Amino acid sequence: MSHAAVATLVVQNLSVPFGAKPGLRDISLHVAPGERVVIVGASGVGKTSLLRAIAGLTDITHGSITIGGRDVTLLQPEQRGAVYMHQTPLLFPHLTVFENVAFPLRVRGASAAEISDRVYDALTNVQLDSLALRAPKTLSGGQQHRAALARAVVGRPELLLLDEPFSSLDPALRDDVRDALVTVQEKFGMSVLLVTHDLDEASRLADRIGVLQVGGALQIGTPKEMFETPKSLAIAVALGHRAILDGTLTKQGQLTCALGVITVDPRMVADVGIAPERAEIAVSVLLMPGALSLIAPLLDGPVFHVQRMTYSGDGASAKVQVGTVSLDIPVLAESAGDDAIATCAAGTRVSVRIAPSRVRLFNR
Amino acid sequence: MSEHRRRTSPSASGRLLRNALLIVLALWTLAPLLLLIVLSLSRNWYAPAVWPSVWTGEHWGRLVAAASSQREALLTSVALATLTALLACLLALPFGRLIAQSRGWPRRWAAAMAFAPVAVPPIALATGMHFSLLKIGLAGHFGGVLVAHIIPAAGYLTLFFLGAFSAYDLRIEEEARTLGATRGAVWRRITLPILRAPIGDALALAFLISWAQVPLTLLIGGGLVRTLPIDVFAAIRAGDDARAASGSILLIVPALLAIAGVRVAVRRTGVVGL
Repeated sequence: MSHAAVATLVVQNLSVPFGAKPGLRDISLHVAPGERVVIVGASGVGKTSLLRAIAGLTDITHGSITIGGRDVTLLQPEQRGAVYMHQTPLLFPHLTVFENVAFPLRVRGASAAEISDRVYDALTNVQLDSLALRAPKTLSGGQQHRAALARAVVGRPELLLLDEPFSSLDPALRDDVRDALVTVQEKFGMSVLLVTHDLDEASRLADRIGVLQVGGALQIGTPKEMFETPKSLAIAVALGHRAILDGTLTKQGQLTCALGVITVDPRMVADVGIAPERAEIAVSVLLMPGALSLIAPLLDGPVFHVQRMTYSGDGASAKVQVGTVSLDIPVLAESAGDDAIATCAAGTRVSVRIAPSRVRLFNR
Repeated sequence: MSEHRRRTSPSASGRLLRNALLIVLALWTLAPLLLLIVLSLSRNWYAPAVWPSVWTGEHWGRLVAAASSQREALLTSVALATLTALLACLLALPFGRLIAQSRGWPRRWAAAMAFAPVAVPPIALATGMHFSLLKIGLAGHFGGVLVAHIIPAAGYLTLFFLGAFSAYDLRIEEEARTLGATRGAVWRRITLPILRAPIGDALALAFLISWAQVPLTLLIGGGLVRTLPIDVFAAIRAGDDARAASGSILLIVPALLAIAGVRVAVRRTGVVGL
């Protein structure tokens, strides 16, 4: 049985116009029951349009949407079984917190006893049961988000569509609301499709991450797959990778770039694919985290100058100009420690150690 | 801090000046009203008499008399203003929302169109409407005057709702839809309750616009539709000061109620609703 056959959400060949522009084209994705899929991408690529189309809030020009096994492509938003939450918590200002959360149940004609039970259950899960009779405007930002979350899950929708739900919160509140989301989502078992531009948020929440690019190209995988083996340089950039150099690669696996000459795995040569008539090919060299480490004061191979030292909980790192790119390179344990400042101070000449397994190559 | 204190605690001369200005303003506003009250309760009060020699409630009694033309005019005005308020509101609410949702030149053009009946001098508007309504046989009828009142009132209200909807986040309705509410349920349970205060203000505004309307009523009604302002106008021309005074006082009542309503709304919400 395919993933799509058991999925909560199946989107097939979806095309969404952006006004008069073409917009998203031929998007396909699925979200499994209870799964959290996070879509990342630059501003303007259509993340929000994708969510709105699934919710039925935007017209589509092509494709189909199935939620919980029902084709909802032509259904109204209220008939789809998917709740859309905006960036800011849009609580109904004329209703109390209780009545806000009760709203999805009231419009479906639930009994008073059921409403009371389920509303207090949802509010307890987001720790707002004591504030049930308050007006929304009297709640803090984090409380408003949690109330909106309780309202979204109280009707047990099959799918939650979250549009950058934490971006308006400060970091402490963001963790708080994110935890509340995971708690209620796991308790009620609904699937989540969330869009964000915050990669940290994506990696913390996602069972799978999708990178959406201009025009609608979408690569989805587990966070490990996506961060470790991006399918293209554009996706690597969208996932926050910035250490990219130009280089040339020979059929023998000799990679020449600003770091010197590196011997890479023959499988990487095969992946890049060098035409038989050519001896070498121009490539983009993606240096994954851990690809480089800095050795000082040993001078072995190409020598670089330290521009600035920085220290964090992870240890010391040095900002070094490599070719046209300025890289933060961690200082190796053997040269770090108490004398790291002295050994790697700004202006120091240093060598760089390369881990070829942490290098990725893309055709240029 | 000292500067702040100086601003909030004026000196003795400043307080005196402020109080004097307040008294002048109160006299300026209330003196004509007091004069109207006295006039409406007197008979044969002519200059140079400072005070009426005969006090009477007969002019007010006419209002409750079944065959009184002033009572007829009052009821016509109430009916006209109420219908104008309701119909102008029904027209302006969707127009205001539509304009608030649009962007760029359509928004600017639509706002300008709504402003036109407000900006055009009433006599020019009345003349234009007179010819139009004459052609369709509505001139001289209550219906014609109603249409004539609705046009400027709907213009004002469209601009009013444009402001209200510009401050209203339409995404709240989208979220309500995905929570399971139909379009109708969203209107009933979300939109109308949230916009209850602006809608109330708009109804009051349209009522007042129609209530005080003279040129449009005169020209379109052709004297056949007699509203309270027209009756007051006729009483002044006929030299019936007491009748003009009692009619004028009645004309002021809704305006005073509206001002009081706004004051209550301001105290309750801290926001000026009108």
